This record gives sequence, C-alpha cells and structure tokens, in this order.
Amino acid sequence: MAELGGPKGPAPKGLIALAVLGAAVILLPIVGLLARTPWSRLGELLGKPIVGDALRLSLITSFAAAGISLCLGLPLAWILSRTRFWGRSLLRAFVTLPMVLPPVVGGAALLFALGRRGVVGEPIYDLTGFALPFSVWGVILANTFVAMPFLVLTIEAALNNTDHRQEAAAATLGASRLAVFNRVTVPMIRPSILAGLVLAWARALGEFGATITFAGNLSGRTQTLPLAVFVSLEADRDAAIAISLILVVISVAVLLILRNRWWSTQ
Amino acid sequence: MSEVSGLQASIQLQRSNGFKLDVELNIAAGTTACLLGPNGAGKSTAVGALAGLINIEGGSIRLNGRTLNDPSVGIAIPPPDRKIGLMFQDYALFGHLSVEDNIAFGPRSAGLSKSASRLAAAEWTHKFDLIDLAGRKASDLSGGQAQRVAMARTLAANPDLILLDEPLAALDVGTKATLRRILSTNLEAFDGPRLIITHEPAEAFLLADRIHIMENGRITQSGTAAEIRRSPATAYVGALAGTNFLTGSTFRGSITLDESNVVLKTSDTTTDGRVIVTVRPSALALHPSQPDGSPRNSWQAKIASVENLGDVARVYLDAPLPLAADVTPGSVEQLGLSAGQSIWVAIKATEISVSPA
Amino acid sequence: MGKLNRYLFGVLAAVSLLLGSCGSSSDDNELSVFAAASLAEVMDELVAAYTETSPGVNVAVNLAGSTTLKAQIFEGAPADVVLLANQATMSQLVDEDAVQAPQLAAANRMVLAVPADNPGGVKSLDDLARSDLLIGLCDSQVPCGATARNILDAAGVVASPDTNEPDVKSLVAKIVSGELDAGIVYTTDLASAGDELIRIDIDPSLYEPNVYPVAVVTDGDKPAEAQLFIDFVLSERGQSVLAASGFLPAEEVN
Repeated sequence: MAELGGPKGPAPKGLIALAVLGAAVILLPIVGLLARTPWSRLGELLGKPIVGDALRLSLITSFAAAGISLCLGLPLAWILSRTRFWGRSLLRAFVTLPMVLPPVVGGAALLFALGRRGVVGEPIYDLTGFALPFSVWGVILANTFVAMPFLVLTIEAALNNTDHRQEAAAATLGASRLAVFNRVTVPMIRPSILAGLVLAWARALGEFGATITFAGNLSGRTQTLPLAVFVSLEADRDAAIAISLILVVISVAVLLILRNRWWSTQ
Repeated sequence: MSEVSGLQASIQLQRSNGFKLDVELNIAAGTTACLLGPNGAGKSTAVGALAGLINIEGGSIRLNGRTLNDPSVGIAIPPPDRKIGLMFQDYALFGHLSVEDNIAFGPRSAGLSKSASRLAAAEWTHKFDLIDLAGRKASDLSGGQAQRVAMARTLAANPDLILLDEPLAALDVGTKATLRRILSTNLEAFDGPRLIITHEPAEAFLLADRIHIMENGRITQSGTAAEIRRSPATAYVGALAGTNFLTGSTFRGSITLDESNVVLKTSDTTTDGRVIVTVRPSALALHPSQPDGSPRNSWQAKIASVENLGDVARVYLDAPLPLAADVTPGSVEQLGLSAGQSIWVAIKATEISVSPA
Repeated sequence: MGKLNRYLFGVLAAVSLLLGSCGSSSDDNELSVFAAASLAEVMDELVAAYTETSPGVNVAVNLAGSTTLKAQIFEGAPADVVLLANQATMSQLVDEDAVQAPQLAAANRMVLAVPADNPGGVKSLDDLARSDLLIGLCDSQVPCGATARNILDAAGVVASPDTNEPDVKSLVAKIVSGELDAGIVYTTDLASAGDELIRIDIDPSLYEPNVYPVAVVTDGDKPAEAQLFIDFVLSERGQSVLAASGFLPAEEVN
C-alpha cells in the first residue's frame, strides 16, 4: 500500500537549529567521555575483576527488574486503565512517584519499609531471618522500584488509546475477561509493552541512588556498574571512565537492536 | 408455558449525555429484522445493550426463553455468556491473529483446545470460501474478505442471535452490491433471529423481513418494506419511502423485474446482471388513458391510496408494481384520483437508474 | 520574524540571562576555601566563628572529595585555601608546587560503632569476623575505608563486609537505622549521631589516625588573607570548634 507522505520541502531552519541544539545537549557529554577515555589502558582497566563482577551483576539485576516490572506492572496498568474504583487517580499519582522522587530518597523509603528494621521487613526478618538489604534481591527490588513506573506509564497510555471494540468483540465471542486480556489486549499493545520494557530496563541499568542506599555496595553481590563508576571516580578516574564506557556501549547496543527489530516499521 | 423462541427485548436506558433509549424489539427465529434510522438515532446503543456491553436500566431482554437482562430482578448476564454474536461496523477483527484463528476464537473461548478449535473453524473457512486466506493475518485483508471473516467468526461461536452493526458501511460502492448478496445468503444459513443495523434504506429493504424505523431513541414505525412504504408514519420515513426500489436483472437496457412481469427499459445499456432499480416518485407521470407518443415504459396500474403532503400529493400504486408517484394536488383533482382507480403510468427510460445489486 | 524564530529567540534570551546571573556572583572580598566533604558541618561552624572575629570577610566554601579538590586545583579553579582529608593527596599538591607550607589542622580517630540496642552483641573488633552479623565498612578507595582495613589487618581480624559504602555518612546512617550490626567510622561521626550509636574504642596503636592538612594555594589571589584563615583554624578558638565536633587537636598527632 502506498504511504501518504507528509508535506514536502526543506525543513524549517528554526526547527533544525533547535534540534541540533537538543542533540548537542545529549551528545556532547558522550563526546567528553570518549575524549577522556584512556584508550591505551582500556584493556587493562576493563580486565579488573571488579569490572567483570559489576557487569555481570548489572545485566542480571537490570533484566530481572525489567521482568518483574512487566509481570507486576502490566496488570497494574490494566487495572488503572480498565477498571473504576475509589482512589484510582491517587494510586496513579503514587505509581509515578518514583520517577520524580530522588532515588536516594526512594532507597531510604525502601529501607524504612523493607529493611531489617522496616515496617514490613522487620516481621519478615524475625520470622525467616531473611533481609533484603545488602543482597542481590535488594538491588533487584531497588531497580524495580525506580523502573516500573516507566513501564506502567507507557502501557497505560497504550491501553487508553486502544480501540475497545476488539475487546468487546472477544467478549461477545465468549471470552472471559482474563481471556480477553491474554488473547486480545496484550497482543494488541505488544509494541508498547516492548517499549515500556526497554525503558524500564534502561532505567534499571543506570540506577544508582536507590540501589546504594537500599542494597549497599559490595563487589560481586550488590555493586552494579553505576556503583562501580561512583566508587572509582574518587580514587581511579580512568577506571571510572572505562566502566562508564561499558554502560554506554551496552545501552546503545541494546537500544539499537530493539529499535531496529520492533520500531523501525514506521 | 411452552418454549418461547426468538428475541423479546424491551430496552430502556439513559446515556451519560442525557440521550434516552426506549425500544421494544421482537424477532422470530429464522427472520431478519432491521433497525433503520439516521445517525445518532441510538441504533448502536440498542445493539450494545442487547450484547451486554451496555447495561439497561429498565425493561428486559429474553432470548429463546432465557432471561439475559432484567434489572427489576437483578439479572444481567455478562456478554461472554449471552450467546449473542455481534458483528461490528468495521468488523473489529483481531489483527494480530490469522484468519483461521480469528474464526477459531469463539470455539477456543468455549473451552476447546487449540487444535479442536481450529478443526471447528475449518468448517466455517470452507463455508465462507476462506480456505486460501486461512493463514493470512487478519490485518491484511480487503474489505470484502474481512466481512466474510467477521461473519464466519461470529457464526463459529454458535450464537443464538446475531447482530450486524452497519455490515456494509465499511465497503466501497463497487464491492457493496456483491457483498450484500453474499451477506443475504449467509444470513439465510443462520436459523436464529437476526438483527441488522443500517442507515441505508436500500439495505434495509433488501435484507430485512421486518423493518423497525428508529428515530431519537424510539421506534417510530415497524412493518414490512411494503407496509412502511405504503403508509409512512413520520417525515423521515416519508422521505425514505419517497424513493422507489425494485430489484431485477438487466441486459442491454432491458430490465426483467423480480416482483412483476413488467419489463422496464432504461437508458443505461452498459450495466448488465442483477440490479437495484431506483425511480424518483416525481419521475412517474400519470395519465387517464394510454399516453401518446412512445414513452419507453407505460402500463396500467391500480391506485392503492392517495396522500396529500401539502404542495405535493403522493399516489401509491399497487399491481402490477408497488410504486409511489408524486403529482401536483391540481392533477389529483383534475384526474379525480382515488383509491381503487385504474390509471396509466409512464416513465422515461432516462429516469430509470440501475446499480449492480 | 516568524513565531518559531521568536520562540527560539526567547529560549536563547532566557538561557543567556540565567548564565549572566550565575557568572556575576564573584566578589572581590571573597576568600575561597576548598574543603574535604567530610568536613561539611564543621566548616559551617568554622566559617561562622571566623567571620565573627574578622568581620567584612566573606568566606565561600567548596566541598568535594579530596581527590576531586586536587583535580580542580590542578585545573586552575579559584581557590585560596585548601583543607583536605588525607596527607597523601596534599603531598601530591606540594609536589606540583600547587600549595605552600601545609600544616595539620586536625586529626580524626576511628571507632567501632554499633546501633544503640546492639542487636548483634558486638563487643570488640574480633566480632567483625562473625558471618552472622551484617558488617559495613567504607569503600577501600575512600580514606575511612582504607584506614579501617589497615586497622583490621593490624588486629589480625578477617572481616567480610556486607557493604562497602562510598562515604562514611551513608555508613553511619545504616548503622543508626539498625540495618547494619557494626561498622568502623570516625569519632566525629559519633559526635554528630549522639546516643543513637554505641562507641567501642579501637586501640590507637593499630593505625595512623586520619589527618586534615591545610595549605595556602599558590595561585590564589589572596595569600595573606588565606594565611590569616589558616592561623585562625590553628588558634585556640578554631581548635575548640573542631574539638566540639569530635576532632582531635592537631598537636596530639603531630
């Protein structure tokens, strides 16, 4: 089918100028990072065990957080979009709170709730002896806390924009509400689910404040790449830059692959 | 009380914008009813209420003796359990599923396994000539193909009642006629009650056994096409009935009609095959005796009734063809037109238009 | 001028206005002191006390990690006085002639801190070897972490920390909240934490205490005023301010 093109002709100069400025704001720091990268020592710096440990942990925890965000965030988005109940707007406001809350505050709040002395954490600890802080589960929880709102927001927007008639049609064909969700709603918004998943993953990969506050910093257990960058920054700037470079490379690679696979159709 | 079959519905509700709906509908099994009305008359709301997508506030809905909805006793069966098939205006096919899986959706929802539901769907893909398209994504279909898939999907769920919301509105003029014929055949294949919604009088007259005219949330007139045409109850129906519809086959300008052995001549000699014939009432000329000259079409007819519409009088003709003719009140007087009288009818060939049916 | 151009102009005008207002904050009468971040609270008090004795002087404090401060001075940041949290970094500045005549302003000892209710029953450094406890240290790349490890090595304790906090403040916070059973922190941290922490002393012979050297920056605009500030810090009044925050007087370790 022939695509209908937009208006033709050169792009307005004003728009171009602002776009270039916008791109520069984002790209210049990356250029700075590359300029300061100690290329000759890169192999040696990246070969340090702390780097490998942090990389492995970052990948595990960011993907785990994205996965948990999907399992819990998708139903949450559905409830917010498809049901009516008292306090729904309030719940929606709170769900997006971690996006504006300083992550360190989020980490502290997690400690107050789920720490060994936390409102919920204390009875769990007393009963089972299990404490979330200073464990890899703590990292995943902190990552999920900051990442899930991105997924919920993306998916809820998609749900609010879908054509309800396909869902209605499925219902008249005998499908229960759960079956409609599984077999019609979810497939219908699949691109937005993937977009939300990627956003959540990216946010989790870069997470620092909530993680270090809630889960601490221990190489091999809770020290993710951003934490490794932070502790190296004071003592070994070159190592910090090298680790930052890994973060940039992983993020760009994953975003490029996903973009080409799922969003390049427009 | 013996088993009551068919649909008995009385729908009363008010939408949040203040629109009130108060409609009574009875449809016998094996017959096609049509809700005909202008946009905004509340037709889709009525269908939504029947399907359970919109709650009614008063009245009740009974299908084959089973109460589906009755607020007075607190019964409101949810849509999946109503066994009412609803075909949406632009079909609302599941774009992410194949044609086969769209059709298998109903059987699958009824609890069949994936393979068993596909087997059930196979019967319908065959019946609707969709075997070649079975594996294609539903988002990649033409309008006509989509309509067949939607119909097959609806029927495969084994409903007790089917509702078709503007089944032809999404199609272009070229395919409309063919698909209306196919739809008409497919409707015959379903032996429960059938309800079609449309704002196109031609569709209503051609597809339905019984027509319910709907205006502003109420049914203003019900009857067969002929009854409604003979005595329109409102101005809207009057305007609808003002157009004469006939069906037949044409070959090189010569039309053989279905409902009479009168042969009409049209100046359109390029269209051949099944057609809808439309004639404006003002194009009919009435004469006391056989007209002079050679109008291509003339015959002697019997007057069923005469109605004074103010500056124009409408003369309803009976055998051999049910047509309406608009004449001036002066000529009614001059010709002394009255019911039961015989009169000569003449229509120019250029006034008879045909379109493929 | 089109709508977009007006919009663009507006954005640029607003940005340049902001930049202008930031740039004009420098002040001829201002003494610029670069101080280690761990001195944040006590710097406020030192500056307040100094401006009391020397009215008319305006002291601007720039707080950062010692290494960051060193880098900033190398890159020509406008500093008059530099007050660091370790000797080694100061030595690097001396080697490059970036500072003149450093002196020790204060010292800080380390203690073992446990939550007020001591849930782990910690009594001495030896308890840090227990695997059933949650132990926190500073990261080895920051001074408090390096010193803590020297202490453990000298005491022959093999501790496996559950977290290496990037700074002593966050370590203290986690001990106070009871999420950690014990950690090695500065004496000064206990002074600020009050009775929320129990202090267990560590044998001073096990380690070199942390010292805070202060020096005049060679490229500073006001060497005389800078020396006056340093003199104040070393004076009885300055030392008493430091002592109130838990610091040891410089002469005790000199």
